Amino acid sequence: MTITVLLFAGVKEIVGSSSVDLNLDIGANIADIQRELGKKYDGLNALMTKCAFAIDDKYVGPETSLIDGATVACIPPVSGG
Amino acid sequence: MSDTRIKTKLVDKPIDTDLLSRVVSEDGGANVVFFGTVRKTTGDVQTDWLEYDCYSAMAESELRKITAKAESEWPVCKGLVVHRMGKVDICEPSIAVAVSTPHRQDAFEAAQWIMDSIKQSVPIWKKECLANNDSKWVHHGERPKSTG
Repeated sequence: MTITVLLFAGVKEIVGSSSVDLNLDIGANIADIQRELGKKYDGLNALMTKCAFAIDDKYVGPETSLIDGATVACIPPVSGG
Repeated sequence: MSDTRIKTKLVDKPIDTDLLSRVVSEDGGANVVFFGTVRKTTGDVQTDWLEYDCYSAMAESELRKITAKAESEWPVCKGLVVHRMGKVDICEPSIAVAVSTPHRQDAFEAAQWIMDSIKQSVPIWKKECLANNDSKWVHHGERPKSTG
């Protein structure tokens, strides 16, 4: 299945794009996105361990299941203020 | 009267520094107005300016969750939270939190809790643009989590 991941700040800079489509197995969850992004992009592994993820503008946990066509936001540690 | 007593805004222009007039009310005898401004020196690093970016839809909804919780925890008469986006120069405000309550302890506590919560959960990021022409996104914190 295809999952679109929205990327921000340092993650966006490392990947060189504001979003990326991942092909994941049916039944994949948020933790699989984290693993796949870390594997696919050099330099992303360390930051990926500190990223949170959100669906429909709400934080979700690593065990959250994904459905085909879902859009997931990858939220690196925030630094507002 | 609207239930939303603390307004929130993301802006790309300089933050109005006259926030007292925006939150003061007949019953709010204690008014805390906090500005976070861009600092030149952090340790050995010299910053020229900051660039802020956000995931705007979620930033707005997380800000709203935080202010709704603050409204339920403290007797807030009025309040305002404004975060600047884009380029912000040294000494310019990047954030303002203004809270008006009947008595001062609540105003101090609410303003501090709002600031701390923003730094934990709201998807806003700053990039330090340094005097040596280098730049880097700031991701020093822990994994973000909802606080609202």
